Amino acid sequence: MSFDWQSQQRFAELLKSVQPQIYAYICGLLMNPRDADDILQETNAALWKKASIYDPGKPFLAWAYRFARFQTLAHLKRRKRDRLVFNNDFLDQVGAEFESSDSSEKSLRAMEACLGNLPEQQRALIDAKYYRGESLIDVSKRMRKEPNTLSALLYRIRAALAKCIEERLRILEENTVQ
Amino acid sequence: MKESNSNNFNEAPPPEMAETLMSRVLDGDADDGARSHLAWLLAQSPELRKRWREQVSTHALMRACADTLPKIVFPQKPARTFWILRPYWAAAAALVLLGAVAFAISSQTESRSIQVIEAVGTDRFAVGQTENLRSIQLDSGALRLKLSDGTQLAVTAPVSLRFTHDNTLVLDQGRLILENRGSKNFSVKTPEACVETAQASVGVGRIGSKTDVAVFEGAAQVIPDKAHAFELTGNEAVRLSANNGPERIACILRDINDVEWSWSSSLNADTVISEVKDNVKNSDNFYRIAIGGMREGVPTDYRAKTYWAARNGAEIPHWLENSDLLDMLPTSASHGDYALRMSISQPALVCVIFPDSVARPDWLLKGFVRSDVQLTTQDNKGRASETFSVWRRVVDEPGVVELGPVPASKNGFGYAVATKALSNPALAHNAPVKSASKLLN
Repeated sequence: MSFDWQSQQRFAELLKSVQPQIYAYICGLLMNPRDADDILQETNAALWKKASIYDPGKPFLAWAYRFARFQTLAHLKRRKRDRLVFNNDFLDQVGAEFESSDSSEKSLRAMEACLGNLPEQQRALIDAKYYRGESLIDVSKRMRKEPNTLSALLYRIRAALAKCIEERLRILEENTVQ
Repeated sequence: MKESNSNNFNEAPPPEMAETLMSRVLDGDADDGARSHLAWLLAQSPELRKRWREQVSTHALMRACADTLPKIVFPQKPARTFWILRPYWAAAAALVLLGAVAFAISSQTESRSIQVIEAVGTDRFAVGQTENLRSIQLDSGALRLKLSDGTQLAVTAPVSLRFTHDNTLVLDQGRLILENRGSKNFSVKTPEACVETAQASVGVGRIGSKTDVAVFEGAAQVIPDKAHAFELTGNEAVRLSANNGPERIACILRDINDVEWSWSSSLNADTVISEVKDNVKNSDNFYRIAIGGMREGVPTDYRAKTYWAARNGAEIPHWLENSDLLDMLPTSASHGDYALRMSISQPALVCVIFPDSVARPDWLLKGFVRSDVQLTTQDNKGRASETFSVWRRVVDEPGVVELGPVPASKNGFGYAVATKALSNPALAHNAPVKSASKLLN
């Protein structure tokens, strides 16, 4: 199969469009957001090496997940002497949960819209954590709330956003079908 | 604050515990202990896995949107002028005075500054929190604290303790692990004994009217209430009660990730080996069982100078990986007529990891079948030394398995034991319990 410049462009767009999903998969398995960033880069590099053999007729994300899982396992093996290790059963269970979910590339636009609907104080918290990259301790000092309270609030915000995104995508799909 | 009554990882956890852990992991505020606990919870519940996927996926999308987030200026609270604060100052001063009076009256406890390093399963404490405490009463969860002198204290609920004068605490009930890396003594007192430590990692437990003391690293001076003081060194553990002298504790459990503050009696609910005894006289050595601990890179014994690895880069097979691992036994005693008796609580695969360079004793040849799996011990630099073969035996029903001595050898290697319940999915998937003998082929 020829892998010309146009094919490369298409592959690059595909890869870019599923970065959040691949990162989520890795982070879900590792339970370590910092390490997940590194593994994401290694996965991207591995995907690029095999870009020319990707079959565009097959689902890209499922194909990419296999690379992500391999890189995650390789990372875990390298860190075998660290105190925290997960067994294969755990990785299979959590991996299956991500692989079976219906993850849409339109989720990003839906997220942007849903963020706009949040109350101001919740947006302030998200701004601090995700845009400015502040630690929870620093935000808690500034907001004069306990870190646990903010942690619980972030959980609820994420749950509410997940529901909002699901609803928007459902409406979008219904409108598209019609 | 609402506190969970669950202090046993085998009971269904309150929903908010999983939520808190998920958030802490995603917010970068979780340590290995918290991640380990979350992994355990996720393994139990498909519903929790679904929620975890939603949380992580949303977190990933929020990261991706970070550049497009509208900038929000966080509203600053207006500063209060002093004259508005005066009533508050008066109230605060009154409280301080009351506190001082109470402190003067109380002579039994002293306030100690503590910093929370790890906290799981409790709403009362959060990581990073610092406060002055006179006592700790924990009904659920587990904590690791750092005291002002650098001593670390790990406690697992239920536990009740009080700080008294400098570098001393009284343990009323429960278990703790003290890591005192400084040269100054730190003492733990119970009605049965006073345990003094310096540059050591020591576990002390008081359950009912008995006190357990286990030394993980270093040494401890144990001063029983009505007997002579004695010293315990690494890998020794005793139980003290009012009317009996110190009795050896032969077996101590730790969890798969060696998160030491999980050392708790609740860990042994599902372990295959429920009790270990040997016939060694005048010994206080204990056998460590790492629950689910057999894996690449795990220490071979408490000194942690060598680690297990599959030979020649192979993988540790599913039937051995994550078995409960009984550390390499103390070779100084395991000769002659040595006998090790293990009480097996359920049908299980029992493996003996035996050094190839040592002559195989009869009890091994007659009681076990040699597999084609070989392990090595490696040092910190990955250099392999001795090769071990894995010998297997299926135990069809609960009972006692007796193992024997190691013939003397110039290298002085002993053997280790790994066990896995036949009901474990890793074994059931590949060899149903009814045809367990296939595991030996």
